[in-house]
Amino acid sequence: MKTTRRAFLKSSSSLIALPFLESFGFSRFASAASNALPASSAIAKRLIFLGIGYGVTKESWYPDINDTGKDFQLTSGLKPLEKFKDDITVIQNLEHANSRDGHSGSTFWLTGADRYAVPGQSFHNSVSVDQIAAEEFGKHTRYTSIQLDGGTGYNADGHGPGSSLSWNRQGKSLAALPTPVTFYHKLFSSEDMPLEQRQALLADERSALDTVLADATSIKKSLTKVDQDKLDEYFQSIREIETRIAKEKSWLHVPKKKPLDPVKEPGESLEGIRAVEAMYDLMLAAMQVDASRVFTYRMPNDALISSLGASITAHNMSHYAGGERTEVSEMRDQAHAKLIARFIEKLKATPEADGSTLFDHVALTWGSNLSKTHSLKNCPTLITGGGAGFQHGQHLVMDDKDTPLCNLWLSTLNGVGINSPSFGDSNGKIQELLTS
Amino acid sequence: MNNLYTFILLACTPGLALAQSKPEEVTLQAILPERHFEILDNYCLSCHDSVEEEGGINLEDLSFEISSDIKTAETWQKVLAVLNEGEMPPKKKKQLTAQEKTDLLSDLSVEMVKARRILSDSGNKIVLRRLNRREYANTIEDLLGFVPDVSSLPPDSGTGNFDTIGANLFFSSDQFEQYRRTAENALRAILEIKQVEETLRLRGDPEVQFYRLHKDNLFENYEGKYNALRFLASDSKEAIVSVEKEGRLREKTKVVDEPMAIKKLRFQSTTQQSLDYVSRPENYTGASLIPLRSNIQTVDTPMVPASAFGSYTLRIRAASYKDQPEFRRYLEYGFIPKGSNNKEILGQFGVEGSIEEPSIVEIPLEHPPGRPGVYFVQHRDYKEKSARFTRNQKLFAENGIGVLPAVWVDFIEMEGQQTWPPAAHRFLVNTSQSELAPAKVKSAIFSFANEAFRGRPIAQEFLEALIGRYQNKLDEGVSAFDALVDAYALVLSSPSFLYMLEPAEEEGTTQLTDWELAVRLSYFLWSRPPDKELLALADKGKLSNPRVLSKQINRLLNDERSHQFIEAFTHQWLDMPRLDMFEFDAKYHPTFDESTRRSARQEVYSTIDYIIKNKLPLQTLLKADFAMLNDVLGLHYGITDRTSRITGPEFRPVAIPKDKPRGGMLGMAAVHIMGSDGQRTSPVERGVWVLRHLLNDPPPPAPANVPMLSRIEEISSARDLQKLHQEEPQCAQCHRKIDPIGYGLEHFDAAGLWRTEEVVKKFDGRTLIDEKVFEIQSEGQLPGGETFNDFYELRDAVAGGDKDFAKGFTEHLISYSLGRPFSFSDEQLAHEICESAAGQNNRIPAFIHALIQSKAFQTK
Repeated sequence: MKTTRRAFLKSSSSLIALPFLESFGFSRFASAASNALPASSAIAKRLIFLGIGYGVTKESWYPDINDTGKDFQLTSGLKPLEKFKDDITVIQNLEHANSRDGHSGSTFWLTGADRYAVPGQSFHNSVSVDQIAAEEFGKHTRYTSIQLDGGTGYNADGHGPGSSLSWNRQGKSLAALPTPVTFYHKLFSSEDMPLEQRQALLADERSALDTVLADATSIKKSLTKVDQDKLDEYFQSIREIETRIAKEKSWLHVPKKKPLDPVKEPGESLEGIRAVEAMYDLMLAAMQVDASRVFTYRMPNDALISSLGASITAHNMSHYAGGERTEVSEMRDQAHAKLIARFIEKLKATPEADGSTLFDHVALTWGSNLSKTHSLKNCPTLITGGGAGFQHGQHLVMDDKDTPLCNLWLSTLNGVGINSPSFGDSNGKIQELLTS
Repeated sequence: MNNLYTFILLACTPGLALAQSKPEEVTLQAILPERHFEILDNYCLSCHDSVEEEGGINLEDLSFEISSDIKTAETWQKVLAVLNEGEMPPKKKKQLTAQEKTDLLSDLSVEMVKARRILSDSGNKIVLRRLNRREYANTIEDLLGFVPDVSSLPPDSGTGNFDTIGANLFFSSDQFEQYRRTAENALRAILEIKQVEETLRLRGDPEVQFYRLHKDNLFENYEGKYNALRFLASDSKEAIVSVEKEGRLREKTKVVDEPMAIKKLRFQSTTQQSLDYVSRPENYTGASLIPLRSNIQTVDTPMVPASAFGSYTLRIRAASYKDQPEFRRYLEYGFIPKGSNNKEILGQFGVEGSIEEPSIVEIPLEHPPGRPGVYFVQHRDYKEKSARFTRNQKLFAENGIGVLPAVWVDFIEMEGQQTWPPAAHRFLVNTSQSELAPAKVKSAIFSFANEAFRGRPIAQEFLEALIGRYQNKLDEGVSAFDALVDAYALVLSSPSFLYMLEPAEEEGTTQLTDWELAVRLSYFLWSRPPDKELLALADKGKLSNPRVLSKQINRLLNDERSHQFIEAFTHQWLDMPRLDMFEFDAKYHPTFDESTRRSARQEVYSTIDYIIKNKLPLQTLLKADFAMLNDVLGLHYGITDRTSRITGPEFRPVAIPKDKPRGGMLGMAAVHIMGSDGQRTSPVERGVWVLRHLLNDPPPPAPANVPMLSRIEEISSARDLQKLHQEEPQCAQCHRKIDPIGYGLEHFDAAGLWRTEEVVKKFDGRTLIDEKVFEIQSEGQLPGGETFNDFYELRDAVAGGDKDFAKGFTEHLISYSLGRPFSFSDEQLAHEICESAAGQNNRIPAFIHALIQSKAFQTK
C-alpha cells in the first residue's frame, strides 16, 4: 500500500467518505487487528505523559543546579522518590521558546507550537509528541492512544486551552476521558451484546454520519472559500469518527482482555489523590492487556490539593508567598512524588514475557510548561522508565539555559523507535540521556 | 480584502475628502524607531551580524519594520525576550545603560503588540461562525422551551478573545458526538415527559435530620465529653464513662478530675455548638444553621422528579437571630442535581422574620424537564473550610461555644403544576396510527428543521437522507418515536443548525439578506435566534429598511432577553473572569464571601443595563451620582438608601452622597477584587485594568519570564512594594505608566472596602507573628502626565478621558458583534461609530445603532 497518513491528510479537504474507508482505512485496520493477535517477538514500547498544569514549588522541588550527575541530593519535593533515585532523571533548563502564555501549563507542553504562527489567526497549535508516536504504535492496539483529563478548576486547573494534552495533525485538541470509571469502562466494559448487534450499532453510527454529511455537502457549495475552510473542521470531525468506527469494526471480533490481576471498577466519585492512583492503576492495566501504548493525562490540581486536606485553589497557591500557600504547594509536590513512586513500584512488579518488567519498556515524562507562577523557563521535567533507553539516576542541568524541551521530545521519540528527524523547534537530542 | 485596500489608500493620500471625519493617524506598519540602530551597533552586532550570526541570529539584516512578516516579528520577539530576561548582552560583555534599555524595551514592546495585531488582521473577513455554548443553549431553549444541560460541550472561552470570534470557534474531533448526545438528551427529556395532573408539592422539614445530626455529634463522637457533662451537672464526683470491653461499649463509673473534664469539654467547640443547638426549643420544629465541623449543611426539598417541568414556586419559611451580625442573616438557595455533589447556587435573600414571627419567602423557578435533584437553602458562609475553622476558633475563645446560628429554617417547599402540554410537543407526530404515513413524517422533520435552522429551509438532499434513515430504522424494528427523536437529534447536530450560514459568492462584498440580518441582529443583542416578529419582517423584506431596523434594535435592547448581551459582552470586555480567579482569605476579609462576590459581579451588569434602558451616556460608567445596589452590597459598602436600610436581592439605583467613593466603575468592588490576589491589593493589576478598559491605552502584555518581585521577606505597604519596579529597566519601562494609576485606588482593600490605612499581617500558619500599619498614600499620575492627589481626583481625571473610553468600548463592541478580533482595518468603522454616538450624547444604544446600520454589519 502506497498511501501514507500524510497523503491522506493532505487530501483531507476533498471529502469522499466511503471510498476512503474502503480503500484505505478499513483494510489497514483490519490487517492491523489480526497482526496484533500473535504477540510480536519484541516487547512493545509504551509512552506516558503526565501534565501537572501549574508548576512546582521552585525552592523545594528543583535540585541545586551545582549538584548534578549521579550523586545529587533529592530535594524535599522529590524525597518520596528516594527508593527509585536510580530510576529517575530530573532535567533542568528545558523550555519552549515559543510559549508565552503564563497561565497555560499544558496547551503547548507536548507541541512546542507558537500560538501566533498563522497569519490572520490569534490561536494556533500543532501536533503533540504523543500523537506522532500514536500514529505508529496505534496500529497494533485497540485504542490508538488514550487521553485522560482531570483538570476542572479555574482555567482548567492551570492547564490552559484544550481538552487534553494531545493535539492532532490539524492542531485540534483531542477529547479525553474525564474520570477513572469512564476509563475503566472503555477498557473492560462487558461485551454481553452479541457481535451482530455491535456491528449493527457501528453501522448505525456510520449511517448517522452519512446523513449529516448530506447537509454539510449541500451547503458547502454555496459558501465562500474562507467559510468552506472553516466548515472543513466539521468534515474533519466526521472523518475522524469514521476512522475510529472503522477501527472499532476491525477489532470487534477480538475480545477485550482482562489483566491476570484484575482491577476493580473505580467508584464514581473518586477525586484528587484517589483519582490519580486509579488512573495510574488503569494505565497499568491497559498496558498489560495492550489496549493502547500511548497515554496522556492532564492531572487534577484543585481536587488534588483538596484531597490533601487543604482548601486553597491551585491558582492561589501558584502565587505562593510564604505561609500557608507555600506549605500546601510543597505538600502537593510531595504527593505527586509519592504517586509516581507508587506507579514505578507497580510498573517494576509487572513482568513481561522475556523476564523483563513493564517498567523497562515505558518512557514516562512528568512535568509542565510552567515552572512556577507565570514562568515558562526551566520547565519542571522528571523522566523515568527504560522504554527510550535513557540513562537514569541523574540530575541534568543543560548548559544552554534555553535548551528546547522539544529536544527531549525528539530524544524520546527516537528512543522508542520513531525515526523522526526533528520535532517542533528541536535542534538536537539530549546526548546526556543517551550515554552514561 | 477590498475594504482594507481602500483604507490604506485613503490613509496614505493626504488631503482626501475624508477630512471632517478622519480617524486619528494610523500607520499600518509597526516600525522600531531608527534611533535604536546605535544600540544594536554598540551592543549586539559584534556577535549577531551577518558574518558571525551567533545562535543563528542576524540582527544586521533584520528589518526594523517588525510587522513585515511573521519571521521578522518572531526574531524581534526573541530580542525582546532576551533583553527582558537579562540574558543578552552576555554578562561579560558591555551592558546597555538603564536609560537605553528602558527606551528600547518601551518602544519594542509597544511596536511588538502592534505588529501582532497587523499580522493577525483578518482584513475585514467575517469567518463562518459556529454557535458558541451560550448561544447553543439559548437556541435549544427557544426551540424546545427549556435550558438544556450543555455541560459536556466545550466552553468556547479561554483563548483570550470574545466567545463569538468565528476563527476561534473550532470543531474538535469528537464534538459531533457531543452535540448529538446533548441534543438527544434534551429531546428525550421533553418529548418523553408524561403528564402529571396533580400539583407537585415537595416539602422538606429539617428538624428530625438536624436534631439527629447534633445528637449524634454529642453522643457518638463526643461520648466521653457528654458523660463528663452529665457528671458536672450532678453532685457526684463519679462520672459515667463508657469503656470498650470485648468489642462492646459499656458504662462504668469513674472518679473524674473536675478541672480536667471541664478542659476536655471546652476543648471542642462543636460539642458546645451541638449543646447549644439541642437547648433551643425552636429546633423542635425547625433547624438553626451553623457549619458543623466546618461543613455547611443544607436544608433540602425531597427529590424533584424527572417529570417536573415548567414554572414553580420555591417557598422558604425562615427566621433570623437579631443578635447576630446582619451580614450573616441571609440564606442562599440553589439546586443539587441527582447523583452529584455540586451545589448550583442560584441566589441569596436576607431573612427578615424573627423566631417569634418567621417570614415566608417565595422565589419563582423555571424547572427544566428530566432533571431530578433537590432544591436547598443554606446559611451564607466562606467558601474556604480553613476560613470557617479559623473564625470558629476565634469565636470559641470569646464566647466558649463558637459560631452561633444566625438563621433558622422551618421548611423549604417547592410547589407548582407541570406545564402541559410542553410547547415542544408540537413536534410530536401522532404515533397512534399503526403505520406512519411517510409524508407525515417528512413534513414533521421539515417543519422541525425549518424552526431549528432559523427559518432557512432544509436542503432536499438532507431531508431525503433523514427520511431514508428513518425508514431503515423502522424496518429494523425501532419504534417510530425513537426513530423520530434520532432524526431530530441529527438535525440539531448538522452544520445548518450549528453554524450561522451566510452563503455568498465573494468575500466581503455581498449585502446580507433580510433573513441573515435578522440572525446577526438577534444573536448580537440576545445571543439567541430571531423571534417571530423579526422573522416576519425579514420574510417581507422590510428589516433592512433603516427605520424598521432602528425600531427593532430598540425593541431588542429594551427586551429582557438583552441581558444575555449585557452579561456576556461585559464579562468578556472587562476581563471579568478575573473576578473568580482568587479565593478570599477570611483572615483578611471577614465580610467577603460568595454572596458578596456574586453581588459585586451583578452590580456591573445591572449598572450597564440601567444606563442602556435609561438612555444615559456611556461615560456614566466612569462617574455617577448613583450606584446600582442590592441588600448584600449596601451592607458591604455601608450605604443606605437615604436613611433606610437597603433590603431585597434586586438591584436598584441608590443616590450616593458626594463624600462616598461609590458611583462609577472605579468605585465598584468588582474592579477592586479583580485587582487583588485574595489577600492584598495589586496596584499593578488595577493600573493595567484602568489603562486597558477605561483609558484605552493597553500596556504590552507582561513578559512571561521576568522573575516575580519577592514580597516574602519584609513587611511593606503595597505601594512601597511597587518601588522595586523602578530598579530594573525592563520593569520600569511599563510600570512607570501602570503603577501610579493603581496608587489612586489604594484606599480600597482587596475586597473593595474603603480603608484609611493598610494593615499588613504576617502569619506563620494560622498564628499572627507580625503586623504593621501604613498610612494610605493615594497620589499618583496618569500616563499623559496629569497628576492627582487622591481617589476622587483620579476618578475625575479618568472621566475626562471619556473619548478614549468610548473608543475602547466601540472596538470591543465591533469585535463581539462581527465575530473577529478588532484590527486596524476596522479603525474607520470605529471612528464613524464614535462620531455618530457623540452626536447623541454618547448613549450606549447610539453606538449599537451606528454599528448595526453600518456596511460592515450588513455585508458578508
